[in-house]
Amino acid sequence: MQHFFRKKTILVLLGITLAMLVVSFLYRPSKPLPRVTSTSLAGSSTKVGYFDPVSVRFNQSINPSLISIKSMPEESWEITAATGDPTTIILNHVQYFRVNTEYSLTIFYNNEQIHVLKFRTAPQQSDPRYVQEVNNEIARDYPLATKVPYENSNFKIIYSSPLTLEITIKNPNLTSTEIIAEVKSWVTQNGGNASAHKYIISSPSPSPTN
Amino acid sequence: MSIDTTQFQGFSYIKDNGVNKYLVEEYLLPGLAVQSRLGKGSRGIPLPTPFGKPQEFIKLEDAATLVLSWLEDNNHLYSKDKGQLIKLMRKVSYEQFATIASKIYQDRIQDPNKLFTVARQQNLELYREAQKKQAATTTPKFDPGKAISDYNRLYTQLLRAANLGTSPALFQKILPADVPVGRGDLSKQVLAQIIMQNITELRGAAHAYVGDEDKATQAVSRKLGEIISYSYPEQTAYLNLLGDKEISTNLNKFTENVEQQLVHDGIKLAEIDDLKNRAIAASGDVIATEYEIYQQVQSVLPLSSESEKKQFAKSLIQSINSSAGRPLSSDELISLAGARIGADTTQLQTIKTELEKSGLTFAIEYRQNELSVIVNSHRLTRSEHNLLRRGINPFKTEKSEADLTIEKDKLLKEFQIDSGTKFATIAEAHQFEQGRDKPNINWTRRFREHQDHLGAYTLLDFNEKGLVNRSHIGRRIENWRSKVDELQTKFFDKWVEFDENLPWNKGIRAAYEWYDKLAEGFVIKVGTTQIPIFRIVPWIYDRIDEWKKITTLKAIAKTSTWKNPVGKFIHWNLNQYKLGDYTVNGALYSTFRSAWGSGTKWALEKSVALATKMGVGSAFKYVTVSASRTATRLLLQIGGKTLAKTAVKIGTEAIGALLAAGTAIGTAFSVVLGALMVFDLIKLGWNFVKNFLSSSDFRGSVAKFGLTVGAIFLAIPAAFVSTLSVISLLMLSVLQPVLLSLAIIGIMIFVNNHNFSDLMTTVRLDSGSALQQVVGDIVCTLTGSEAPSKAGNPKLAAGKCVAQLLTQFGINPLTESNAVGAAFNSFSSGLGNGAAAAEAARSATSYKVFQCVGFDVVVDIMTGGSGTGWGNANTLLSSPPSGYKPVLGVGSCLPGDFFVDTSGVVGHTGIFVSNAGPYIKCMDANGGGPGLVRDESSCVWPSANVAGCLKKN
Repeated sequence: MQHFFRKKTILVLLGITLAMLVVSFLYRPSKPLPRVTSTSLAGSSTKVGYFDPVSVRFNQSINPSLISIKSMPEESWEITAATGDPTTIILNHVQYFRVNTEYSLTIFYNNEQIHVLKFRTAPQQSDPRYVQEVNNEIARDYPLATKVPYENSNFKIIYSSPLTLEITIKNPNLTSTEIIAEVKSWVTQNGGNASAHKYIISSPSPSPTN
Repeated sequence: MSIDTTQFQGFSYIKDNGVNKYLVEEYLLPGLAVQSRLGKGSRGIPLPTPFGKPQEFIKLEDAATLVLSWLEDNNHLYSKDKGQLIKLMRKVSYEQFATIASKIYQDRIQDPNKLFTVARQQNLELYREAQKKQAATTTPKFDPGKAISDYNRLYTQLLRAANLGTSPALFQKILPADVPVGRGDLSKQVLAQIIMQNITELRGAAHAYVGDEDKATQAVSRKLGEIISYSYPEQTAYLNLLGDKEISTNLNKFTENVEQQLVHDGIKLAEIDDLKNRAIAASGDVIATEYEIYQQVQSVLPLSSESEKKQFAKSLIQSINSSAGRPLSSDELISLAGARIGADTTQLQTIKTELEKSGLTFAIEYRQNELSVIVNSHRLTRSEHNLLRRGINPFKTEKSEADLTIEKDKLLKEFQIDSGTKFATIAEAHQFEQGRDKPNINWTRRFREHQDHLGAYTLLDFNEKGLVNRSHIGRRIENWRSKVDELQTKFFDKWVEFDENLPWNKGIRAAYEWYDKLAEGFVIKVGTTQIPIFRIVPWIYDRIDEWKKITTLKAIAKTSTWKNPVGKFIHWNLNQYKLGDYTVNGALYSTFRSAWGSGTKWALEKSVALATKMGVGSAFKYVTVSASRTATRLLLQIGGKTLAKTAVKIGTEAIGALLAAGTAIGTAFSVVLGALMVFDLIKLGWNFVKNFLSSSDFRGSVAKFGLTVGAIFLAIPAAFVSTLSVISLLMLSVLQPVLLSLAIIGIMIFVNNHNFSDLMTTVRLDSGSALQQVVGDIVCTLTGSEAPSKAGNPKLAAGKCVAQLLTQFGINPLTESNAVGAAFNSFSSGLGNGAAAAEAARSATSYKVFQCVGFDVVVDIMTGGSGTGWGNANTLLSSPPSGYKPVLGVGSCLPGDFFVDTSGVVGHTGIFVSNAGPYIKCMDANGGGPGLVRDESSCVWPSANVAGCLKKN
């Protein structure tokens, strides 16, 4: 009996030891949260450029994937590590900031709030965010806008609607197919996507006759 | 010239240089204003004295006589002015004499450097030829036509001297190619013009230090700094360079070479200045007045009907007046007038050609530029500003029509006595005078002035006359205010007189006078030395001063051969000490000047000059109000006749003279003053620091001048410790806080007092100087294949030029960081338009990046617009800028119009180039990226988003 108790005690102790081992393997003591030591914008900065990215430096190396940002007004953020500096991350706003607007950025690490950054953007006499949208729209709908209208001895092209080039044939010796092929070639040479464009032929306006 | 200086040959400067503008402006007038306040205590006015010789003083009455003769000889005096000045001389009111003489001088010639430019003086001859009217009116001493011809002949000789006497290489050292020149478009050509036009004054400054090369060099660069500060505010960035030793040495050398060549050619410097002044004074007599322009323009206009001619002539006068905010070219003025009456391009070109042929373009431009100088130097009431905006000249309509009629009768009666003939109108009397064998210029001037003023009313309609009448009320209130100020001054004068007569003050004064008398005669002899025991403090100062000079000069001579670094360092320090008038603060100033921008230096010069003599200096023009108050309070506390008067009327400028007088009061005063001024100046210094730290706008203002304030704050102790510590410890290092305060105050004075206005060089008549041959070509605009194709559209050409130049100099996009510095300066020079470049810089620095609206404004200014009234992009159609009208829809836009998109928070704008269907081709800024300027090769904008365009009125 005494022997059994001794054996049982030993087993219990072994079990406890094993459990402790398992726990010790699984347990990771929580590291202190990283602390923001500086940002590219001093707290409550005013006249912040609408194009300025925000850099944030921490007191320790940081994994950008654990960082998340919530901003008021809302923006879409891209978070990247600063080149050559593991303690710093760069917050890129996909669109330009709204001008003359008070921003509040809350920085989370592993979903825990670690910092709030407030600043006001500079006033502008034009609206860069709107300008950006316009430029995106033009790049999407009229990718060759800066080069069109274009004219050579065989044809003249203009955009008549998004991604639609209207062709005026100037050389009567060439067929529509040949001209379209030539225009497509021109589009490709100028960095455009020939297949994304539509091509329509417009007949030249009749010459005035006496 | 013709001033009889025989009795003044004992004065070295007058013997060698005669009486010239430099002497009058720098010594005689300030001296009269200051020294006269000391009454019998004045030793006279100190004159420039050769190095090592005892100081020379000229009596006040002699100085006044010289000033009067000089003014008269240069034809700056009208007969009534002369009478007034003589009366003041008789009353021994020299202070008032100096004030009135200065005012006359300024009123007659305004600022010659702004009006009588090189190109203009040449064009004046062409004008006279075109007008086929040699001014026949003369006085026994003055013939305007001859004065102009004489000076032009002389100027040709001056150019020759500049070409022969100097080399481009030497000039290159005065304006190195790689240094920043700030906002102004300072080219070699412009700098050469500034130097050559002021050669007499510059050499005059050098001649005040005969025998001391270092001091002469310093004086020339200081003088040039003053000239630029006053007359060429757009070029103040160059002041930053003037302290540089190499630049100032070569500047002195350049002016010296020119002078030597002039001497070789038998031309006296004083002669140049005097001839120039006479020619300037003659300009007003020769050039058509506003009303004469109005009349003459009608006779040459190629328009069919008389009413059209009248309408255009009136529009032209209105344009001259309404644009007086800044000088414009005749071309711009005629275009403005054309726009007012809706003339088309062909019609406008024909008008321009005819006006050009008649020479009237010159008169049009001159009178507008003259008005802009006057407007910028006078305080106008709100209603007078309103008149100007409406194209009415408030200076011509200052007197009412009724007053002018009464004046006419009086004038005709006076003339009747002189001519023995009765006339009904001024025009008839004028014609009669012109028909005489020797027409008198004084009559002619009075007639023309009267006709000009009364004529201004003939251009006005009923409503406009009503406005003029209302402006008279505003003027009367303004005059009433001035009178109240005068009354206040008079009250203080009376109070002083009353105070003087109080028994105890009389007693104190008697005691002072007794003391002074005793002090003069009571001298103790110690060996060969005589010590005025009752004036011991000034005597000790004098001895210390002598000792300092002698020992310093000996040490400089001794250390001049030391070659090791420490020896060189000591030698350099000693030289700085000498250049600083043997005072620590002067030396510190000299060090500052070498090390930093001369904007700071200029102010320091004035401020440290005060400190040098415990708050004094002959530079009466630049005395600070604050320092003045300090002195006033102190003086009131001390009391006494001279001091109390000084206290009420003036500030610190008399204090130096007071000390120099060596009176008992002066002695007591010098002891107390130091302590009190230290307190006040430090307080003022603190206010500056506080303002600097708390106000971003203030910091911005300071930064605009290129004053590296941070550097200054660091450099004051650094320079002090590193370069002057040895001397400062040996001498009165206790003054350091004062110096710091003075330096700060100096900057403050400079920043607050400086004129920010951009003075655009006018385009047509004021360009293309013969001086170009002296200094070589400059890059002005894009040329050859790089030149933008104007295609008859100046706005497109201007926009393209901005884009190309920014790209060429690597500052496209333009942001707040690159809107200053060498690249931007090159851009500014290339643009050839300082005001436009300044606007680009302003836009980029105010908003961090160059704005779309800023781009429009730049183009507007470049094409003759006022650049005013531009709001955010989305407000431009609802509230169009000055000179533009809105049209709605993209279909209304033509090439060169400013397109406006009102979408988004604040919209967007740029120049409309062409319509390409779904989008337009354009030029803009901040549309393709922050601060990026795009021309038509890369700028497109959706047509659907264009709400409309701005067209020129």
